[in-house]
Amino acid sequence: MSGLLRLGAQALSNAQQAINTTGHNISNVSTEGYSRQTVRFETQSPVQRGSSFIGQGARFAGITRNAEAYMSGQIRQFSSSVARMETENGYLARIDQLIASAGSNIGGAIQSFFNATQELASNPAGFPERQALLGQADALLSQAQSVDGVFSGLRDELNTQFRNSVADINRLADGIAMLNNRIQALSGSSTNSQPNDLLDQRDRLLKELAGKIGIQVVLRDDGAADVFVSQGQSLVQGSRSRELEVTSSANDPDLLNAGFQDSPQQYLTDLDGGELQGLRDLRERSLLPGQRRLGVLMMNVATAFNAAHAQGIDLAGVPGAEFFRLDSPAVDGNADNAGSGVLGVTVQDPSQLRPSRYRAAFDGTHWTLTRLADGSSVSGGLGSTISGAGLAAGDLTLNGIDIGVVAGDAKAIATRVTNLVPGVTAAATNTQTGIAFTTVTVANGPADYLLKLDGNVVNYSGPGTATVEDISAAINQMAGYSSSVTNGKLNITKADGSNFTLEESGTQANTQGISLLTTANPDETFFGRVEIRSTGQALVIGGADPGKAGLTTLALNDGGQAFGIDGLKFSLLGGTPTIGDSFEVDPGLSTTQALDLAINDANRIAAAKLDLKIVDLPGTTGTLTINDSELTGSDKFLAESPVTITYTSTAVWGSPGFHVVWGTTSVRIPYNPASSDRNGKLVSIPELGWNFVAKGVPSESDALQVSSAPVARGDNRNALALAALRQAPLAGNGQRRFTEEYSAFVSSIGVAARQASTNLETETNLLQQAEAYLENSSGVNLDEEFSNMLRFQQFYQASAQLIKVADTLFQSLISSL
Amino acid sequence: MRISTSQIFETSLRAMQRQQQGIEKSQSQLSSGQKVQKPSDDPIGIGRTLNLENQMSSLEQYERNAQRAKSTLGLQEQTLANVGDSILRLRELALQGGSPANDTRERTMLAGEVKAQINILMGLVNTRDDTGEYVFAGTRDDVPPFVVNAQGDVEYQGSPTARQLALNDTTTVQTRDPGDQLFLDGESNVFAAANELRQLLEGSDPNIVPELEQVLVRLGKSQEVLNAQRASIGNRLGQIELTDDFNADMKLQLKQVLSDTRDADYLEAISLFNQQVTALEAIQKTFMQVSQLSILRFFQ
Repeated sequence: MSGLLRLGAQALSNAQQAINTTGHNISNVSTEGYSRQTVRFETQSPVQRGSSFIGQGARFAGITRNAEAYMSGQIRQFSSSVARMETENGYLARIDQLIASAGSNIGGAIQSFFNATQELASNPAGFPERQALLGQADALLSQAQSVDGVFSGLRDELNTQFRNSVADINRLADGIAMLNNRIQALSGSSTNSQPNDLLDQRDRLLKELAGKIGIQVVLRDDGAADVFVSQGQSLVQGSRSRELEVTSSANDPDLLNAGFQDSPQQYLTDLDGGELQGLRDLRERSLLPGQRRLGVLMMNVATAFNAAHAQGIDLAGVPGAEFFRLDSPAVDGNADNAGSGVLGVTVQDPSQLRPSRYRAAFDGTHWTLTRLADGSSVSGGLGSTISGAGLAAGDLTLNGIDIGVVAGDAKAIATRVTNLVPGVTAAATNTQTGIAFTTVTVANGPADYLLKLDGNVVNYSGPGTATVEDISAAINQMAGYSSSVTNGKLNITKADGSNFTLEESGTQANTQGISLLTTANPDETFFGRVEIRSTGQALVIGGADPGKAGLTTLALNDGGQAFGIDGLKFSLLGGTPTIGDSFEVDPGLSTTQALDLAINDANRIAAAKLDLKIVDLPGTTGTLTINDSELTGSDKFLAESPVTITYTSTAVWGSPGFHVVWGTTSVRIPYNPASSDRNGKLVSIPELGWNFVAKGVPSESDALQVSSAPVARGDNRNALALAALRQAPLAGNGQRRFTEEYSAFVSSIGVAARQASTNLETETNLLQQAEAYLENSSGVNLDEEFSNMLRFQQFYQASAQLIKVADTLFQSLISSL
Repeated sequence: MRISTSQIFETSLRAMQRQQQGIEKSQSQLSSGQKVQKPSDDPIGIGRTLNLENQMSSLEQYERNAQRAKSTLGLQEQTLANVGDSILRLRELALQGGSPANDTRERTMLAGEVKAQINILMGLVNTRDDTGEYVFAGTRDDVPPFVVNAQGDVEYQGSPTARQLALNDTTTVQTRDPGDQLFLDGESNVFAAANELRQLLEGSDPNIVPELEQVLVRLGKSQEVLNAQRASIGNRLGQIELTDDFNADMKLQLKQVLSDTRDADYLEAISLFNQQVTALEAIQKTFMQVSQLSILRFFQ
């Protein structure tokens, strides 16, 4: 009887437990990640009585959590994929929308811009047409810049999200470690019970974590879940979690990496899904390529237009000025660079440029330039030729003249300019000291290297090798001058105290680079004008000379010492690089915002082409002719018109040649009529960039004058040339027209957005299926719980009845006594 | 298979959302009339659409160019016709001048008319178009191309370069001709001939018939040059017409292709929309019923 009472009490307690669990299930019907629980009972060991066993009722055996571990793993994997696709899709959908809006149709703006050049061709002198062209150019730039700005903004946003996401990972890893700790403690205490609700909670955190970064979870016997990321690096181990931190990459401050705080420099290389991977992919596959493509397109438009514009003349007859102003791309020095090298990059030919980031890496002797988009590279001797001896604009000033290297390698010249500086300043007292002369080879005598002092040839001994001492000795032989040598540098003093002219020329001089000319005007500062005349680099000169007021750029060859890739020229501007130093440049990203209109005055638009007028000067008796159609040169414009070409049988070091004079400049060009035939002879004037064919036999002192014909306001030839750029394949690496390149860009955005949305749909379906499967087995069904409740209610009632029966039996027994 | 309660709701909810997304898309297609709302709707199509739109814009620009070229050349043609009339008149005057019946007074009168014709000719060769530019000045069209120099001869100070306009990507047409070759070229110099005629008529030589015949020959040559030029202008106008027609055809074609790739097919869009609405309603109805399926109802 007491057995019956015990049985009843136990059943009652069991029923209560079952009803409680049902209640727990019902109240968690909407709890995310909740696994339905079921109460387990087991039969008590029977008691043997004689040969029979007597049942002892049921006992509470525990509560089962209806979760399927392998499904949880799969769901986490799908969550990683979905989160990754969701991240990409979210951004891409925004770009998709942005590109779709009419305000960002850059292709249309390019089209309108070129339509405006057609209108200009229809009425080349028309102010409204000219103004409209500037307006369209402006509209094109602001449209491109606003789209570029959106891309940059999205990159910033993406980086912010990257940081937030890593903070989330830290928070979640922390939470998981804490739960592990509690689960370990609780699981340890009683053998076959588990803290089900804590497990659900941990599963939820794991799933959330998987949405941030791909994870592998290993369940341990003690109940803890260890979490690994990337290539098996441990994020959570038992009750300990490791902190992740975000760092900028050394070669690209805009590229964020996640790594463990306790082992810096080791980035997570394999993000394996999740939001982080989505952000990374989005940046590398869509945002950067898209923005670069636009940037390169705009550079293509601007440089092609500038080049064509420079071929024309404006309403004042002046050669077409720069139309679009382009900046050189920004160079990122690697944060870990040990050397002091400063690298400069200029875009020489944007039509070759690819939408890629580029790296220049120094190995101690050579530089390797790599197009990072596909890894193709070139190596060369950039460092060995100019390391440490560069010259930057502003480094040198003399009498208000600023000399600086504009582009390329100028070591040889720069060194000499540097050495000239002390001499030039000292020269104000009519003593010129410190002129640097290296040894010059003068195999052919003065034709190789000619030095003139006040127009008189310095007769140093030659042919052979002349040293600075030889030259000094020769000057000492000249009446009225004295000379000495200090530290290999030449000093000259003129006895009467007046200014003097020093001129250096000849083929040897040309390769070495420098010619000094003093001005004839005594009011001007001595050496007020420095001319750097060479076939070398581009140097900036300017200052006191009235003919060269302001700054002037002279184009000089780079002697093959700066080298490049894809139309980019790399040069060392200064400092000394050391082994392992590297620099990166992203031309498509860094130039769009700086693009600007260089012309504000509509009259400066060069719609016309220059016509040359070539006439014999009075007194000419020979048959020398130069045909204007046979005079070519990239720079055939006559900024200092006219140019006179005078033939003298002794013009050049006693040999026949032309004395060419323009403005205050004169050069001598060898020309031997005896070697000319009826087809004429090609003559070059590098200083003007001219090539022309001289025909016939000139008499002594015969002179031709080349000048520009008066401006024809109705001349639209250059406007037509500008308009024709529209249909030329000058973009997309020479494959497409400008507008077609933009269309292709839009298509590529569309493809990416579409793909992202399709992928997202697929991954989401997979995740939903897996979740539905899990949810269906572990989720709560109210009908089921209700029927259980009814069952357990009856169980309870029956158990209560047992106690009542026991009580009745007991009462009967008592009362019968 | 077991189904959890939240799953029942979730499934219906998702199905409704999917239909609503479709309806939203159809609706924006119908309201904008365009099939492609954003690049991802049809990545290849939108690239093509943009190219077609730009091509269209170019064609419109070329149409404007053609219009301008036509009006400039039309003015040239008209002026040349007037110059032709003037030369005809000069020839008549030369013939009349040769009549033995003429006395001094009549010859002076004739000379006076020749002078008037020269003035008319000067005005004609210095004709300006609606933008105020001289049509026979080549590219130097802001100053009168023909002036009388100190010797009384007519001189050309325009440009020797003609102006071209683009009719399409590959064809240009000459629109502004240098006038020196038309009016001042050697034997066919109309002003020299007219001046000579005037001098002959003003002179006292009673027998000027052989000289007048020379003048007639020269005026004839001027006429020939003029006719050749008018033929050339006629050819150019014909070429413009042809290119213009071709451009117009292209435009029509482009419009068609553009409409095919860009514009929504209303019939298709509406039927899709109706389908989507019907599907949504069906889901909503079933959801309403499914959501009421609870055992609890029977215990109330």
